[in-house]
Formats: sequence, structure tokens, C-alpha cells
Amino acid sequence: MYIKCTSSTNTRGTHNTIARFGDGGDILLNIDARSSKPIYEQIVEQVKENIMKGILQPGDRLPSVREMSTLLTINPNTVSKAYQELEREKAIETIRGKGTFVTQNYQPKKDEDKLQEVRDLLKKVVIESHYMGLGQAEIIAMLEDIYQELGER
Amino acid sequence: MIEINEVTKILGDREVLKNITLGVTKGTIFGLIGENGAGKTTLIKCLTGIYLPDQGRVRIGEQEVFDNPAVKARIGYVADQNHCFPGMKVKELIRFYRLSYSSFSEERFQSLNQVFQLDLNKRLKQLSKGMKMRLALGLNLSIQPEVLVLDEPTSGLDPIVKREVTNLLLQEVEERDTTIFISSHHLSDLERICDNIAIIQEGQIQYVNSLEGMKRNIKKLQVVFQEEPPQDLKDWPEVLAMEKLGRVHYLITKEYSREFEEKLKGCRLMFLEEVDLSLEDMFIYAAGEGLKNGKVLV
Amino acid sequence: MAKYWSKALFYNERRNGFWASAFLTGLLVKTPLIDMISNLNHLKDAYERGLLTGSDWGRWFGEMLLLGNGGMLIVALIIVGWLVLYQFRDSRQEAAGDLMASMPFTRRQIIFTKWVTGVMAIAVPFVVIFLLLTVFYWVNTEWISTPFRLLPQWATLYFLFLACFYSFMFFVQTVMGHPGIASVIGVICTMIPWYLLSAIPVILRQLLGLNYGDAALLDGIERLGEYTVWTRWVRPRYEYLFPDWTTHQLIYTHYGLKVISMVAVIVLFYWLAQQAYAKNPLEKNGKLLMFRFLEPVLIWGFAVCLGMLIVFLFGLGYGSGFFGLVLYLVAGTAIGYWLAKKAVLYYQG
Repeated sequence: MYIKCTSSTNTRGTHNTIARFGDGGDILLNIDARSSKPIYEQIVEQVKENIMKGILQPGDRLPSVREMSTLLTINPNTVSKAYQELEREKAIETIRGKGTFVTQNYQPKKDEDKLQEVRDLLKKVVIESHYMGLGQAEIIAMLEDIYQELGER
Repeated sequence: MIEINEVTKILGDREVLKNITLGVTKGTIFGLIGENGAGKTTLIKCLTGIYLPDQGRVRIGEQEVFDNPAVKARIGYVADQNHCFPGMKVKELIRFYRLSYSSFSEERFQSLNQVFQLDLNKRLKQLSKGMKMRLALGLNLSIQPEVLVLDEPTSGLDPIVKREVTNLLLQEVEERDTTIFISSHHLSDLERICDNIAIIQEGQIQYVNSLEGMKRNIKKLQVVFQEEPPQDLKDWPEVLAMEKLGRVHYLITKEYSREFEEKLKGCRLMFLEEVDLSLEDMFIYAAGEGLKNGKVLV
Repeated sequence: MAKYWSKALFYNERRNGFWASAFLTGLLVKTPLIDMISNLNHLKDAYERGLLTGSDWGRWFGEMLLLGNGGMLIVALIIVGWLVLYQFRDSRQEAAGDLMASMPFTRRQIIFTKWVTGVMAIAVPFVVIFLLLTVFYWVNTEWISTPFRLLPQWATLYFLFLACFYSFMFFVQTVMGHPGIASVIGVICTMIPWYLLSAIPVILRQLLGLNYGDAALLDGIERLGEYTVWTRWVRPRYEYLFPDWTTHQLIYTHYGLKVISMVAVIVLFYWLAQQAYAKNPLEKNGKLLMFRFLEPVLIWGFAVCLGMLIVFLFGLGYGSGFFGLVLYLVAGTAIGYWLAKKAVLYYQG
């Protein structure tokens, strides 16, 4: 297996890393250590986003903890933690001796906290849109557009 | 793995370290950030058993470090200045390490040197700063240490070498569960790789936490009250700082929690939102005003 | 043994030891060996021409061995001093000293290995020269009337003498942080007992208006002073030999006592060095003194010695009475105190 990696660092210490694996799975991660969001959360979110967007397909192999840590120059413990979280959410699974893979039928888990979070975010969007003069129908249309864009996963 | 307990060190007439207590768990990376002269190097020299603290104890793996070769054999130390033994050849230094550490692995050094490309026949004085750092790191990784202590390992290195060095350290932690203690005067060198970070200033630890913990605990909130805010809002234990802009109150909290949010919501809120806070600001709020002019956060 | 000796540290020390040994061997091959060979050639030449008369020409070997090497001794002392300086030069530098301290060695291993390396570096040349001279002696035995036992005695005494100096200088290095200054002060210190014992009686006599012979105590002290000249320990004496009492031969007097006391001095200073080094605070590497309580010792020692020197230079002539003398002494001491204090402050920084 080979890893091809392009990586750049901007002034804010953000790494844009694209890792390409021999077996087809690319992964695009953008970690900002300076953000108020913990790094492991960024990984969790972005891996899920990669799965959502179809960049990572079910059955694709993810970089190992060590590869990921070197790729992004981040602490391996942080990567482990993110992978554990992803495993807990059943987004990925580790097969001993083989590696870590995207699960075959990933069903995003709707947990209470997250649900509330999404609700709050939507609320904010609705308020914002209201002040911009957008109506309910327009927002719903926009949501549908976005779903189309993401391939309705 | 590392226990630094109420360590005080006086150099000359100056109290360089004041009652420092720190702990590092096995297999984690601990970052020590401070400006030049803040006491980083002195703390590291106490940690590696070079200096005997005037008060307090330094223990690694439950054993005192000072004058204890059994512990020192398991510690790798990469100093901030590696210009010792100028007349020695690289291969002689390797031999010296091999004789000194029974755990020294020649194969490990050779595999590292595949990357480093050090000329073993050169004398140490002929090596550039980056080469010396590579050599020191190579030797100290080859002794397969349980604890690796590095004093500003990346200062003055170009970004490529810097990244190469950092990645080696990350691999070491991943593969061998090594505990790493690393210092720097720039947060940016450490923010991506450390489990925990401590800020040292004038010989005192200003703040210790994991970056994650810090990001979780330190928040800036934008709040609008329906009526007047509670009279004693400023004196709430959770509120570190407060600013008012029109009807909007900006609150900085060091101990963010759901309960705190609920408590706020109980005061008839119209609006509550978290504002993005940069890591620099977090450190300034965490460690106090003193850091405001500090260059450590660059 | 591993408690004291470290192979790794020896590996690190070997270079200094090797060079000191090489220089010392070279020196000893020149004096006495090569000198003796050329002297023997002259002797043989003189014999050919029938110029050898009398009965005592065979004594040359003993005389050249025991007397003819004052210059050699000074050079040997310089080499030994240089060796000590270099042995501590690296370890007193911040980078190397710290690195060594972070490596898995005890202080005792560091100091013992260093010391043994140094002593061996001095011993080896004497073993070598002893073997060479033994061959030379037995090959040319018909030209030599000196008894053979003088040769091992000479080698042992000279080795011990240099080892004494080494051990002492070594000890001075362990209480001071600056190897260069420590070397200078170490050399000065070797002369201080003699200086004090010879100067104090002279000054006291002048102060009290006494002459030599008036106070037995002072004369005694002054004579004692002569015994503190270190080189006395390797100085031989002529002894008239039975049966005719006219031929005299060089011998070492009180040989056993000298050997025992020199071994005692060597061991004592090593022991002191080990104790001192174990308590060395390494943050004082590069500073003047390792221990704070030595500051007043150094300052006052220097002050008093300078005060006495000033008296010697200016105050001993006729005309300077009691008060003049005291004035010189006090002024000299004050200047010395001030200078030493400055120096200590500068280097202790």
C-alpha cells in the first residue's frame, strides 16, 4: 500500500491534507489546531463528512493511527480518541490485524445532545434568514438543493 | 510516569523555579511553553537529574532521578544546545552512547540515519545546527527511552526538518508508548502534538491543561438579557471577565458547563450564543494578563 | 568495580589520557634515556682515548638519573597540569557537562574513572621508561657502578610525586568551576604552605624587633617551611660509603616514609575530590567556585598573601618601624581583599 500525501500549512497552522490510498479511498481533512474546536472533534466531524460526501465509501480503509498522526502531524493519542469516537458511533470499524474501515451501512446515530445542537443551528439559520427576508419555502428549497449536492445520503 | 513535586530551584540569588508541581502520564506528550528565561531549561535540567532541586522532588517511574543511573538509563535528553565534544567524530559519539546505554540499538540508529543522512566520519564541530539536532535525536531515539525530554528541539530549524523531527516523535509515542516532555517558546510548535500543555512564566506554572480540556472549558459567550442582567453576574464564580456592548454582554468563562448555561438561561435570556475564541485568547484568559505581551503564543 | 568504573566514561576520557601519556613518555625517553645514551657514548669515547681516570666515573648513571633532570621535572609537571585542565575542560562546559550528568553515570563513576585514567596516564610512561632503562642498565652494566635498586626507586618516587601533584590539582578542579583559573590557583596553592611558613617568621621578627636565633619557635617554623617545598620529596642525598668514606653515592633517604606519605597524599586528595564532586552543583559550572563557603576562604587567603607580599616588597627595609610595617600589611591585605572580592563577584555572577 502506498500513501500519497499533499499537505500545506498556512499561517494559522491549518493543515490541508489529502491522503490517497492504493485501494481507492481518498480522504480530505482540514485540521485547524487554533480553532476553538478540539482537534479530535474536528477529525470525527470531517471523517463523517467525508463519508457523507462519498469521498470515503463503505469498506474503504482509513489511514492507521500512525499514518494519520504523521500525515496531519498530530498526537497519535488524539487520533486514537477520534477513531474510538467514530467506532462508538459505528461509522468505522477496526478489524484486528487488517486495519480500520468505513462500516458497510453507516446509520448516523441520533443522540439527544446532537439533536439539540442541530436544532439550535437550524434555529440560528432560520432567524438569520428571516432577517434577510427569506421565507419558509425558500429555505426548504435551499435545503433540498443542499441534499442534492451531497448526493442525498 | 513523571512526577514533579513542589520543586523550587535557586540559581545564584534568583528563585528560578517556584514551587512547581506537574505530572505526566505514560505514553503522552507534555508541552512546556514559556519565554526565554521563564525557567523552562532549568525545569528540564531538574527533570533530567542534572540539577538537584533546592526543594521538592523529581521522580520518574516512582524513582528519584538525581544521581540515579538506573533511571537515567531510561531517559533520553535532547538539550537546547548540542555543541559539546567538538573534536569528537560522529561515530565516536555513537560508540560512547552504545557503551553508556545497554538499551542502545545500532539497527535503530542506522534506520534513522537512512533518513538523516549523517556522515559518521565528520567531527561534531563540522555539523550544522540542524544536523546536530538530528544526531542528538537519533542517538536518543536509539537508546529506546521510556521518557524522552527535549529542550526546544525545533527552534532554529527549517520547517521541513521541524516536521520530520515532530513526526519522528509522534511515531515514537505511537509505537513504543514513549512519554515525551518537550519545551518551546512558541505555542504553534506544540499545539498540534501535545496531550497536555503547561505555561511557565517567571518560574511559575501559570496554567496546565489539555488543549481539549481548555477548549471545552474556556468559552466566550454572547448574551442578551430580556431585562437587566443579574446584579451579581460579575461575581459569579464561573465568570472570568465581562464586557458590555450596548445590550450585548460578552462573558468569558473558565469553567464552562451545561449547568452554567442553564443557570444563565434561568435569568430570562433573549439570546445566548458561543463566540469563536482563538487559542491565543484562551491562553491569555487562562494564564492571566501577564501573557498579553508574551510572544509565546505566536 | 562497576560501581566505580565505567567503560563508557573511560572511552570518553581516553583521548586526554593518551596524549598526556605520549608526551610524558617522549619526555622521559629524552631525559634521562637519550641523554644517558649520548653520555655513555662520550664515556666510551673517553675510554678509547684513555682519558678515564679515578674510580668514581661509574657513578654517572645514578647522577644523571637522580639529579640531572630538574628541567624534566618542570616539563612533566606542566604536562600533568595540562592533563588535569583538559580532563575538566569539557565537563565544566555547560553543554557537555550537562549531557554527561543526564547520562546513566553516578558522580562517583565520573570522578573515579577520570582520576584512574589520569593516574594511569602518568604511570604508563614510568613503567615504559623503567623497562627501557632496565635493559639499558643490564646491557651496559660494566660501565655503571650505581646499584640497580636506585632505578625502581627513582621511577616509583617520580611517579608518586607527579601523581601527588595530579591528585592535588584534580581536587582543586572539583571545588572550582572554571578549569583555567582552577589550574592557576592550584599551582599557587602548592606553594602557599612554604610561603606562609617562611614569610610569617620573617615578618614577625621584624615586627617584634628580633634577630634570627632570638626566638626558637620562629626559627623552627622557618625550618619547617623548607620541608614543605614539594620537590624536596624527590631530592636525593649524597652518602659517603664504607669502607673508605671518601667515595660518595647518591641515595634516597627515608625512602619508605616518602613513599607512604605520598601514597597517603594521593589517596587523601582523591577522597576529598570524590566527596567534593559528589556535592557539586552543576549549575555553577563555569563559575569560580563550586561552594559558597569557599568564597571567604579564597578572598581572605588572597588578601593575606598579598598583604604579606607587599610587606616583603616594600616594608622590610630599615626605617620602616613597627607602624610602617603594620601599615603595609593592612594596606596590602585591604587591596587584596578588594581585588579578590571583585574577582569573585565577577565570576560568580
